Amino acid sequence: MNAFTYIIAGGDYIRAGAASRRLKERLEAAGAAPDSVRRAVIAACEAEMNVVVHARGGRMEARLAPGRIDVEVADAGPGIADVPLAMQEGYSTAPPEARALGFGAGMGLPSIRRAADAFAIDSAPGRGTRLRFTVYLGARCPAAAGEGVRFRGTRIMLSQRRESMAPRRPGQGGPCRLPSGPPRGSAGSDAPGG
Amino acid sequence: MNLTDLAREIGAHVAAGGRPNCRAVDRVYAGDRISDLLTHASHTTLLVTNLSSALLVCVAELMDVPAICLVGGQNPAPEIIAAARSRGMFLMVSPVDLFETCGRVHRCWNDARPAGA
Repeated sequence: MNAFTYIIAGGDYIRAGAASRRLKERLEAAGAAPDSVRRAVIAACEAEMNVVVHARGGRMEARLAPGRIDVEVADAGPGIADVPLAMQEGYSTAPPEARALGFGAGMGLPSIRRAADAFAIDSAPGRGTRLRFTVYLGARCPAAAGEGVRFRGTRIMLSQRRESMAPRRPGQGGPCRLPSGPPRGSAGSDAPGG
Repeated sequence: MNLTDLAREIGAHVAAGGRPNCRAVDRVYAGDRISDLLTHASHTTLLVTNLSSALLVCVAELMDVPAICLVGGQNPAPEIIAAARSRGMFLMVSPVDLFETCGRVHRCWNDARPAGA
């Protein structure tokens, strides 16, 4: 079985990270390249922590396909009123107790976008948040061939993943930049930039 | 760099000794934001941080981090020590703050480098 679901409890800082750890174990068992495992774990952990910090609960669904893993994290949280703003590094609405634990730096969503080969988010106030990302598990990245992936009926265009995981300077653009003028409440990493 | 030697040189207390085969690091990252630690941590990284929670240990384990250095002479909670021990992670506590700890680590790092390197 190459599809699996993990339940994430909102506000549970004791078990936070458990879903990402299991995802990591799956990827390692599947023989994924270490860099791919690393990127998938970074994205999964950030997404999981977002649920823990902001939502009453949620779930992580992962599908392991030949050469890639598709992950969807959905929550029953308050939703995000301004997704492009939330995608900006440094923007956060995390409560003080989360900040005391090292969260709330406003780096979660940008980190997911940076770590993944494809990324999409859909959120609105009162509707919760659903984000999806794909990480390719080997050396070949179909982004170069202009391919897209289809996950749960939604086509995700691939961004050109940055070669380095080093942080961007404030204001610096990058290949995972949001497309200009996305519909309010949704965003995808389908606009390779320079 | 050998972690036991480093702990001794910077005056840190070793709260958990880690696995025998994971007592060396080749880079250090200091920070207080989980996102930064996730991004910069690796299986050869020593994390130096003001954070002190079992969650920190969990995140470090996700990134295969072999060692954590807490600062400020704090007494880590028993669950933190237990989490580090159960994961085979080296956990030490520096008696001084983050800035001074980084300074001490940096000096040791330079002293340990071969001459001319």
